[in-house]
Parts: sequence; structure tokens; C-alpha cells
Amino acid sequence: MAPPILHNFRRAPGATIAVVSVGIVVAVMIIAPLLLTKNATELHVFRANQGPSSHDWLGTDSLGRDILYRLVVATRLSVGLAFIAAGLSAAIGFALGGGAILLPRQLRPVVLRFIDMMLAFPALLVAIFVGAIIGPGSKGATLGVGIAGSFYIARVASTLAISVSNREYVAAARVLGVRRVALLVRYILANTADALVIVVTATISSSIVFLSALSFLGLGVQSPQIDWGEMLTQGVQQFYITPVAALAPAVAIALTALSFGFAGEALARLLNPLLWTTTDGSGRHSKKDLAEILASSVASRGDGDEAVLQVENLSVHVPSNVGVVDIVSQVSFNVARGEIVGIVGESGSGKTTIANAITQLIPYPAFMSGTVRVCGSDLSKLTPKQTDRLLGTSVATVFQDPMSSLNPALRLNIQLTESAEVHRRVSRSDARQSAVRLLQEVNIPAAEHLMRRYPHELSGGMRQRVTIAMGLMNQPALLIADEPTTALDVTIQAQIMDVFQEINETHSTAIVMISHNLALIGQNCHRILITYAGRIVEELPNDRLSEAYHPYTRALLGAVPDMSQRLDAPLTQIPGASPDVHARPAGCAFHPRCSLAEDVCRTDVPPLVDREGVRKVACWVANRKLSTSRS
Amino acid sequence: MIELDDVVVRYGAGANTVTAVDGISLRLDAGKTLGLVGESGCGKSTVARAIVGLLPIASGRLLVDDEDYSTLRSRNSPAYRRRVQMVFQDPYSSLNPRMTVGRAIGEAITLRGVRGRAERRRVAQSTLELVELSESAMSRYPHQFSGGQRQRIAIARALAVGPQVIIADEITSALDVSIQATILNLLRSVQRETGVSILFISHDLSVIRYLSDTIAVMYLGEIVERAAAEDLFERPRHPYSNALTRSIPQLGHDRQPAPVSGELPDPRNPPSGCRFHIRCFMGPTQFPERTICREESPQSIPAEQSHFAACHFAGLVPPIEPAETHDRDMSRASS
Repeated sequence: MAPPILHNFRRAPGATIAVVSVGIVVAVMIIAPLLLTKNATELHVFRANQGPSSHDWLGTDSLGRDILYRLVVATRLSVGLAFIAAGLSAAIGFALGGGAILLPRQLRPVVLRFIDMMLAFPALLVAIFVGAIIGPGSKGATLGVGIAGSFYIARVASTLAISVSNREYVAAARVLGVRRVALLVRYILANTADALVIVVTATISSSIVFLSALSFLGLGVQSPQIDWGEMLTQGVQQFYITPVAALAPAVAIALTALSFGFAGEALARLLNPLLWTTTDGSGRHSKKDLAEILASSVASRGDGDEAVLQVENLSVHVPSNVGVVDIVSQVSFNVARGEIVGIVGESGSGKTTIANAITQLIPYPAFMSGTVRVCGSDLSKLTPKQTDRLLGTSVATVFQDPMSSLNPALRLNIQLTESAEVHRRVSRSDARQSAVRLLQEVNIPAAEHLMRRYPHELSGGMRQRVTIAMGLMNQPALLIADEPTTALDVTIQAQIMDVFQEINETHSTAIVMISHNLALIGQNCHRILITYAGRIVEELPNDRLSEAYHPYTRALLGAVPDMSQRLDAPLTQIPGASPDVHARPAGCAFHPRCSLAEDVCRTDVPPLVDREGVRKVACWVANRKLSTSRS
Repeated sequence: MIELDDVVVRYGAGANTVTAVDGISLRLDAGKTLGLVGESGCGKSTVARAIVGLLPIASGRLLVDDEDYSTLRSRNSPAYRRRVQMVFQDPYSSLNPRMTVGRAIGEAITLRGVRGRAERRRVAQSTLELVELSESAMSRYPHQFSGGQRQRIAIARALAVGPQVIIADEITSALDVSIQATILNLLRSVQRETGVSILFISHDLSVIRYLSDTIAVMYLGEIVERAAAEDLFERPRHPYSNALTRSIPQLGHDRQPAPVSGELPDPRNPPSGCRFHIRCFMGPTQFPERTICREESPQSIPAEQSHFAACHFAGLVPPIEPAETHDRDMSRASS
């Protein structure tokens, strides 16, 4: 297989610039001293310190030598020594960094600490130190810069190698019996090569700068040899007469360093197969007009006082390189006071995005359209401050990872009471009292004691209880729980579900529970919404789940083994995988995986049709059958 | 056949020593599936890593077909590698992103000792066929596949060595539920065709139940119950297995309140006596006279033939209400 290396190389930012500029530099390095050394060293004492002219394009230096010629000739020494220095850095760096990895575990920290210690010295200082010991001149400078740069490479190489060697695929290879050398080359080196290439090319750039700096300080290349640093030394002395004499080598240094930087990026891209296949613009989404989408948000009617949450035609749009993509489209549902509604879907079905849209947590550049009413108020008609107030007092959210909603640096008492103090302006002692009461309510023993602890001191189950108690502080009408037990064990999950039921019963708090676990949702919710590829495909009361209409829901029911699954029967397989957000199929998004799909399913999106007053289904085939059996 | 006899695995040294696996005995017969179930932190993944030679065994014996592989060195030998292979949890991290599928599988086949390009290719093809992937997969990289397909590749790579035993550690927990079913079905058909033994490790009892012939339940580094799959769920003899079974949400059944309170204790400092006693609904927290649970570690005793439970009151554990067995078939949806 031939990866489209060249095509990919060209895609790298600045690849063309890199090839051209590095090519020029190398060509100049080789050719210029052969042809132009005489011109560069010719003295014209009477034309000293001239500005640019038609004769000397960049003017002359204090001895009347042509600066342009000198600049070009100096390339060989400047860049050549930088290559040698960088090569030296790489050799020492890889030996040191890679060696540290191969050493026995007890010795490894010794070498790593040594590298860290050497890194603490500024590289230029190390270079000067080494240069001074060996004596001024190009040999000392190159060696100094080479050694100075090696510690950085060693540090990066060892860190990368350690992080890669902890990856599971390395463990997998060890189990497979892959030999140590092969492991190092095919697994560790292969997965760090692109980063290492960048580091090495960056070292070439920095070596040019360091070598020039050493020459500038008089420790590097000595007259009559010339490099850019030495030219800089000369030029600076005449800076107020002919600034070009100093600027020209400075610009040469900067541009050359830059071109090696670009070259590094391009090479790294070349070495990374993950970048060889990029999503092309073959997604089925047409470019949508932003204004059109926003205009389509329909103003909703203000009925249903009992509903704590009304979502109408909610869509979440994400601008991408294939146009605007809808990760949630045309979702409508209500949640009544005291009701527990479950949203079930696989990864990428948009269930979490729906929750985030309700709480206005859609990250830029995504944006939403449609209406979200919380306790009757249309969020789009409120000022940001009013929205914050409304969401802060009537909606609480519990996330999958409780640590994401707890501040690790603060004791729990401060975190628990904060929102009540801010939103309801209750006194601290009142807030403390209600916090303790709520912690007891979520079955936390020794609540008083727990208030003084930090989040990391608690177990996962305890943290989740705390975030639930925190959410309840403002007596919200609605609790949104996004995969609240996915990170927990089943025995703890059962405990947390008890807590949700109790909250629901004692405070009639409505709950929107989001999960990928159909059985969990089926057992704990009154009503269930099934999502697939950003749409609600079925809505039904929990006791009808086993008689679902939508082929996707039915397939899910058969695909998940439960404790009553017949052991000799195979599980229902759903062919294929959930579609990528950027390439959702036209028509019904489930049609490529559906055994019942017909022509209409491939072209038209099925509407969510009311059935029997209590349930809805979005499937052309199911709805047709239901209609004909009725008549 | 693979056998673990009183195996202990420890992490760390000195005061920080954690005995993650504390004297477990297991036996996996040829062509069978042994399910190892437990919650996070119970030591089940440590068992897997010790078996495949990523961790040393502190004491106890590990035998494959009566040959001793108790030392780490012996488990890192090519002979052992050819016998025992592993599939990891996350197919996104267990495949080398810089290696084509063909190379990854080819590498495994080489280790098996297959010589000759054509022969290697033939083995690779038949292995891919086994996991229902087409030959065109060979030239592609892992990131070009979906999660389910990647897990098939990982299974194919383990099979390519031609092992007697495959250790499958939570191999479906990173996958979507609709993908999980295909992997479980695949594992069954692979076992039918190759006769490979599988140690299937999972936290999900329903998945374990579906795949396993025998099941071992782990709690805090110990095996608390061991039985044939059907037996275990109909009549668990250990309160923890009973609680675990009742904690699983089940379709078509009413919700039950959580059967146990509390959480897994710190494994560095396990409770005295029976390690489950502080959470047990049959233990001294509910029945103060049962002090024995606090004082004595229960021995694993046969409750019935080939049904072992480590509980002082194994005979009193209530049976699970039988759930209605039903057939699930997508074809019914169309009828």
C-alpha cells in the first residue's frame, strides 16, 4: 500500500515554502563559497561603510567588503555548523533519553533528574561554558551548542517514550511476545517519530541562533572565517552609519530558522499516518444559510402550565468544512412537573447535546435554534442575566463525572452553599443547614463531617451524591442527569437510582435522565425518548418499551443481553455502526442498518407521528402498518 | 486447560503494598468460557494482567496443561505467548496507530512460527475471515475503522498466534450497545470454530451470563463464589452475588431498591473476617449475633457439586426470583 505521501506532504502548512527555502539554503551553502569567496573577501577600503547601491546591493562593511556576497558565503558556516551541532544534540539526546528508558527501573530516575537539572541552566549559558573551556573558535562553539541542545532533546525523547510505553498497545505487543528491539522501533519510535522530527528541526533553527550569538560574543567563528554571527558583530559597530550591515545577517538568521521550522512540521506530517486520510467534503449536508436556520425557529404557543420543560423544534447546528451540520435536529418534547423522562441513545445520538442546549451550554461555534421553555419562560426572550437566574434556580444538572462539577481546591461546604447564597440570597448559616439536610437526604452518613472535606477524599459514589445534593440546594423544578451512573459500579448505581426516586417523590422534582442503558432508563423513568443520529425516533411510556414500534428500538432491545436472555439464541445484531455526525445518511438515518428499509426511507426523513395519544414513532414502515391495521 | 492455584498478586512495596489478588483459584477447561465478574477495584483485571505475564505472581501456581508457568520469565517465553493471548478493553488504545492491520496481524503470525510469505498471507486471510472482516482491511490503519471493527482486529491479532486461551478483559465495555452484540456473537462463533478457551472478564453480569459456561464472582481480591452459569443466577450462594444480580436493571421488571449499602472498602486495608461483612444484608450489620462474619474469613466450600461459595451462611442466601426467559428476535419486529 502506498500512502499518498506527496499529496499529504503538500497539505502540510508551509510545506512548499519549506521545500523551496530549505532547498535554496542548502544550494547556497554548497555553491556560494565555491564561486564567491573571492568577491566576499575583496577589500575596498575607500568604499567602506557604504549604504546599498547598484554596485553593492546591500552596501559594504567597515573594510569595504560587499555585504551581500559575505552574507551568501557565510551561509555555509552558519548553517553547516548548525547542522553539526543539531546532529550532535540529537545523538547525545537520543542516547541519554532513550538510554534512560532502557535502564533498570531503579536507575531511570537518576538519569531523568540529571537531564532535568541540566535543563535548568539556560542553553546559551551551557554553550558559553563549554565553548569557553574548549576555547573560542568554531569547534568549541559547535560542541557547546550541540551539548546545550542535547538535554532538551533527551527530555522530550524520554518523556515521549515513557508516555508511549504506558499505552495499552505496547502492553498488547508485549503479550504478543514482540521482542524488545522491535518494540522500541515499531511501537515506541514509530509513535514518537513525528514529534521527534519537529524537535530536531527546531534544534537546527535554535542552533543557528545560538551559534550566531556565540560568534557575536566573540566565542564562535573567528575572522577571517565568516558566519552570520560574526557579520552581526561587525555590523552592529556601524549600526548608525549602515544599519543594513547588521540587519542583513539578522534577517538571514531569522528566515533560515523559520524555514527549518516549516520543514519540521511538514516532515512530521509525512510520518503520521493518522493524517493521511482526511475527511473530504463528501458529507450529504448542503450548506445551509445561517439566517434561514435562525428564522425557522418557530415562536411557540404558551400552553401547558404544568410543564417544567417544553422543548420545541430544538436543533443544534455546528459549522464545519462541509457546511453547517445539525448534531441535533427538530427535537420536541415536554416534561411535566414530577415526571421522570429518560433519553436513551448511543454515542453520537445527540442526547447529551440536547441536555446542554436546555441549560444553554452549547459551546461556540455551535449554535441552537428552536424554543426551550423552562417553567413557562422562553429562554430566547430573556436577557442573559435573567436566563442565568432562571436556570440557576429552577434547573440542576448532574454529570457523568462528578469531579467535573466539583472544584478540587475547595471544601465541600463552600461549594454546597455557594449557589444558594448567590441565587437566593440566603444567609450562610441557613444555607449550611439546608446543605446538611440534603446530604442526609441523598443518604450520606455523617453529613456534618463530610462538609469539611475536599472532593478528592470521597469515593465516586459519594461525589455523585454530593453533586445531586448541590443541585437540589435551590429546590429546582427540574433535574437533568446526564449518564449519572455510567462511571459507577452496579451496586452503587442502584443506590443512586434510589436517591433519584426519593427526590422525585418527596419534592416532585422532574428529572430528565440521560443514558445509553436502555434497561436502566426503562426501569427508572416514566416516559422514554429514543434518540438516533440527532433525532427522537420514538417516544413511549416505560411499560410499553417491550412493544416498541421503531425497528431501532426493537433491535436495541434484542441486542442487549439481560438476565432473562435465552442462552442458546444469538443476540440481535445491528449491522454497521452509528453514522458519523458529518456523514449522516439521507432520509431516515437508520435506513442503512434497518432490515425493513424501503425506498421512501432512503430519501425522506420520517416525521414523529402521534400514536394512541401516549406515544410517538418516526418510522415510515411502522406508521403505515399502524395506520392500515387501524382502518 | 489453564489453572490458577492460590494465586496472590501484589502492587507496590513496603507500606504501600496492595494485595490486589489474594489467593484465588480458578480452572478454565479446554474449549470452555469462564466468566470472571466483579466491580471496579475487585482485582479482576489484575488477574488478567498476571496471567498474560504483565505482572508477576507473588505466590501460588499457574498451570497450563499441567506445565508450570508460575514465574514471570516463563510467562514471557515464546512458548507461553503462543498458548495464551489477550484482548484488551479499549480497541482505540490497544492497536498501534502506526501499523497497518496487515502488519499487526502479520507480526502475530510470525511469532506463531509460520514461514513463507504466501503461507503467512493465507493464515492472515483465514484469521480475518474468522472475525468477519474482509481482506481489504489489511492495508488500512486502525483509525480508519469503527470501534467494533477495531475490536475485531484486536481479536484477530490474538487469534493469529493460534492460542489455546484468550483472556478477554472488558472487551465490550468501550463499545456501543448495538456493537456489543456483534462482538459477543462473534466470540461465540470463534470459540465454536477454533475451540479456544476464553477467560471473559466483565463487570456486566448479563454479558457474563450470556457467554460463560462457569462463572467466578470476585470481591476485593477474593473469589466469593464459583458455579455453573445457570446455577449462579438462579440460586446464588453468596450474598454478594445475590446483590450484584439484583442491582442490574432489567427490562420488563419493576425497579427494586438497592440491595446493598456502602461502597467497596480500601483494598490496602480490607475488613477483617469476611471482606463483604460491612455491606452484607445478611451480615452482622443486620444480624448482630452473626459475629463470625467479622471474625473469621469464610472458607470456599462446595455448596453443591461444583458450586463453591465463601460465606458462613451460604445456605440462607435467598434465591433470585426467576425471570421469564424470552426469545428475542428482530424478525418478529417485521411480522
